[in-house]
Amino acid sequence: MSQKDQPRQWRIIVGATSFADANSAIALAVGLASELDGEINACLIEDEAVLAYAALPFARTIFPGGGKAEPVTLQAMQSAFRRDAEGFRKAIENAASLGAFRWTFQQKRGELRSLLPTALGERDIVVIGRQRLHGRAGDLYVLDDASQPAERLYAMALRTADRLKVPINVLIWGKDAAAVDARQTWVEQTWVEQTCSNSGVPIQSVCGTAFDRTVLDAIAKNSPAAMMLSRSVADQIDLEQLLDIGRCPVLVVAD
Amino acid sequence: MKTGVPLDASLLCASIDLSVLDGKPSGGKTLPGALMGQERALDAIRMAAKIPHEDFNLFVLGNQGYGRHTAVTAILQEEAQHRPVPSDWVYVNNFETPDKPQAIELQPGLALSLKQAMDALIDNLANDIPALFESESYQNQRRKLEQEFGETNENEFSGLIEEAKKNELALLRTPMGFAIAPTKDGKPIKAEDFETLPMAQQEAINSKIEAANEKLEAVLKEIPKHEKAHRRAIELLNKSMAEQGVDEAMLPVYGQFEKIGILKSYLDAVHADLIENAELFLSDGSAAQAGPFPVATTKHYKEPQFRRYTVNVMVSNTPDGKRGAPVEVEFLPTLANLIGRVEHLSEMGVLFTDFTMIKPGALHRANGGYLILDVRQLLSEPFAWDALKRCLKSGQISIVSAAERFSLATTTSLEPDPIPLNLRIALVGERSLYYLLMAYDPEFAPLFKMQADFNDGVFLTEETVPQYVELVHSIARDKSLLSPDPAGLQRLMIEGTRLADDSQKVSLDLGRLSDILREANYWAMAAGNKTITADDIDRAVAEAETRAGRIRELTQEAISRETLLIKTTGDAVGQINALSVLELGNYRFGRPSLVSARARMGRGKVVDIEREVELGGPLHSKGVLILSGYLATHYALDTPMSLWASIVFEQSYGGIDGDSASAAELFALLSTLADVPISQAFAVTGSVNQQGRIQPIGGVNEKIEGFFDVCAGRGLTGNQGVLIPDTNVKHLALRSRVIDAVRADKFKIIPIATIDEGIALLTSRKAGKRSKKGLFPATSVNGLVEARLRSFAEGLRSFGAMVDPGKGNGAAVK
Repeated sequence: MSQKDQPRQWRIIVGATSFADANSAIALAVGLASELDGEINACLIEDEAVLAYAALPFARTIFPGGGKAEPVTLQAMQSAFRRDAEGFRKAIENAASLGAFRWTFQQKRGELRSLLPTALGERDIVVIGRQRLHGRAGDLYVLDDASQPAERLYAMALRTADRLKVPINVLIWGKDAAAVDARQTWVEQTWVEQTCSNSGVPIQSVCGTAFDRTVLDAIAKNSPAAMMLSRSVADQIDLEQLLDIGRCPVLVVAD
Repeated sequence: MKTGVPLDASLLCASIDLSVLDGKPSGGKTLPGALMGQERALDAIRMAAKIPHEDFNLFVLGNQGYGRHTAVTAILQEEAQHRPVPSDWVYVNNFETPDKPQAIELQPGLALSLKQAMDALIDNLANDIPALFESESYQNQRRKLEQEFGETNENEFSGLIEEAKKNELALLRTPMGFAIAPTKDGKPIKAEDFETLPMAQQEAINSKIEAANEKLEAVLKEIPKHEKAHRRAIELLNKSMAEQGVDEAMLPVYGQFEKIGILKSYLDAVHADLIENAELFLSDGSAAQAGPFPVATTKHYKEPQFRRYTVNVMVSNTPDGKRGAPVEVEFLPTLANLIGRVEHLSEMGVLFTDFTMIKPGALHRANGGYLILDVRQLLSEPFAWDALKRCLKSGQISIVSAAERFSLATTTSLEPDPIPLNLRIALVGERSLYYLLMAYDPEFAPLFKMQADFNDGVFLTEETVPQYVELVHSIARDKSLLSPDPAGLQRLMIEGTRLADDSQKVSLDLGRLSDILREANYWAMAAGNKTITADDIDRAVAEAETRAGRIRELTQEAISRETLLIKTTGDAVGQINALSVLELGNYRFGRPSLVSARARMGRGKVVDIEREVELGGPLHSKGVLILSGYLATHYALDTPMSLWASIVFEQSYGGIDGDSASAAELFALLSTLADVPISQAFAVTGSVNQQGRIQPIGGVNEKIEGFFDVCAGRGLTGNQGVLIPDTNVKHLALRSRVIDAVRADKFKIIPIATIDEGIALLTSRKAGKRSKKGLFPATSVNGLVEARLRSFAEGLRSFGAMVDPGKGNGAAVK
């Protein structure tokens, strides 16, 4: 095989809008980079909505650990972003020095969704960080709209669940009932029986017709360890809403 | 024995009578060689072995090679068999204060059983507890708790978000925490848009935000409380599951050891700790490290997290009814080897230790029995002697390292429970060390009340000769040597008398005896002999002397080439051949030295030149002062002692000590005073007292042989010989070359009892005895000496002057 024919290195894109959120995803990203021999592209997003809010005269923030709402200024928020970016960069640097993988870091202004590149390659994984409210970790959720082939998504999910030592909870929905049935059959008979049987990871799957409030509530109550979805699903749903509901890292893989 | 006449050759070495034997070695039960002739020491060892009082420790004193170690070990081992097998001792974790490990005494044999039971317990739990926690029952209960907790938190938080949305607000996550922001069309309002809003609307938004903030504060405040309650619930669930597993796993251990009072409380502590720390068994490391073996067969108790439950066996004794109490010999009695040590492991650059790293010392192993130590080694090891005394005085073994004594240990260390000590120490060492300890260590005598003093030699009697023969045979058997034939035995015993410096005694230096026998065996084998013969013994002795004799040969060479001026023929006034012994390592030899004396009128002073230049030792000076006393009280008693004399060892450039040349020095001085020549064919050895009695000296054999070899090198004339103290005749054990020469009348060994006997032999003139008038015959040597001394006194009176010795040349004439 010529050098040209060789597949390119895996790229793990990890990002968040704060260090606290990013920190929840670093271990996941580093684990993937080590396992796949990939590189990490880290990014701290200076959320435009947050900066706009900080410019308001009554802007206040509450520390996640509790306490009173305290006034905040735009300058203070910008400084906080810079501090978080530096902390994020150092954390990646330290992890890379131990894991011996390549890494890059950037800080940019925009929305969280901008972490998703326009073209997500088959050797790309995006990990969006979100800090959990509490220490307990539930299942790894796989969100599958049954619209595309999803072997890559499921393979990555099994690998991640095994590393996190958590069960997998598969949610399949879609307008095309036949496609949903076919996917569930594949999941239960092919993937679970053939691929997952030796892993010891408990797996359950639920089918539905829509990614609605009921599904979101179920996710919220479980306090997931992480959520995995394909690019096509990511493009359909409100990522911010999903992160608010799940309050856990979200992993996006190519279709 | 007649003095003043040459000795018969038969008196020049021991006469060994082997007729007491039947001519063959017994081949039966061996009389332990080391025990021969040592009844006093052996009785002391036996008593020390039996006496129950703890301060009757033993010091076995004597020279190296005399079988002290063998004897003390044999007796103590014999006695140990009749004593009970001592207890086992283990160290276990102290769960309340881990830095103070707990010592537990157990019946013999139980320590290993306890360790095996605890290891098995951990292995079982390592398999059982994960299985319990993976069980359906546990998982369901856990899931229920998680769900309850998750729902409580999430419901509150989700409710908050929903309510905010209804009020056109959004919950933002910022690097500085949560924020409630006003929205328009689902997006946060920008500052410039907000400012365009009517004041009333702005205030309404502010009010809604403040209310939302208050709720958010309340929700966030509750989260840690929920978290704590959830954790507690999980802990209780885990504890209840762990209890089930631990109770069941510990049943057989309780069954086996519960009746042992002290173990009951320990097992209870283990039980409580296992339940408290059940999560140790849930870590996932074991499977990964199991290697080719299934997890169920992995030795989990070896994993670091389970060390706290293991048992560190310090002493384990098997109650087989044969061994009895232990007899330990510690050849390297360092502090750590004696009292044990606490080892450390380096983990991430930090030194770490726990009770499993406590290692036993010789005191632990010998506890309840006997411990044999070489005192020289013990004293040369830093802190070891001090630690031993401390343990004996306190009656317990406390492990304190040298670093702790110096306060150098800055890392984690332990303070293990002391272990009660009940043993008998047997120190083995030289006499000098015993007496030094007695003199300078006040703690020594109260702790070591028994001394076993080993004899250096034993008289040859009808009883001891067969014992000695058996001793030789036992050495030959032990070392797999050829058996010595009767002549060889006889020759070996004569060599034994030589080693003892006494023709009536034989040396008990087993080390040297074994050396000779093994070397003789070498030569016998080389010659194809089937037994060790007298010739083989002779060869072995001669070869050993040759190997060590380079300095002796150089001395003989210097004399034969007249670099060292020694005359062996003719006569000379004021000079005589004295004899000295040089000791180099374990080899010694004799050599003649020219002693000369000069005299003149003075103030009654005999100058010892060796002393003046600080080459003479105190014993030599004493000899010179004694002979001065002899002169002063023997001659011209009615006149002042008006003599100045000097005595010197010619061509002596090293130190000299001892009084064995004092007789020779006196002869030289008398010769110069009487102006009578002394025969240079003789050499003289012996000390003298103030009455003129010749006294015994050491090394008589080497001295005689030293002069003999010089004479033999120049050709024996038949007139040459050595004058020795008559009291030294019993010490003669001369080499065959000397005996042969005496037998052939080519050399003489003449015992003398007095100075007068010596004068007569050396000068061929009568010494002279005082007549009834108190005068010596005028032509006798004594008469001439007295006349000379009187003349010095007369001279002084004539001059009427005092001698100032400080001016250096005797009398100062006015």
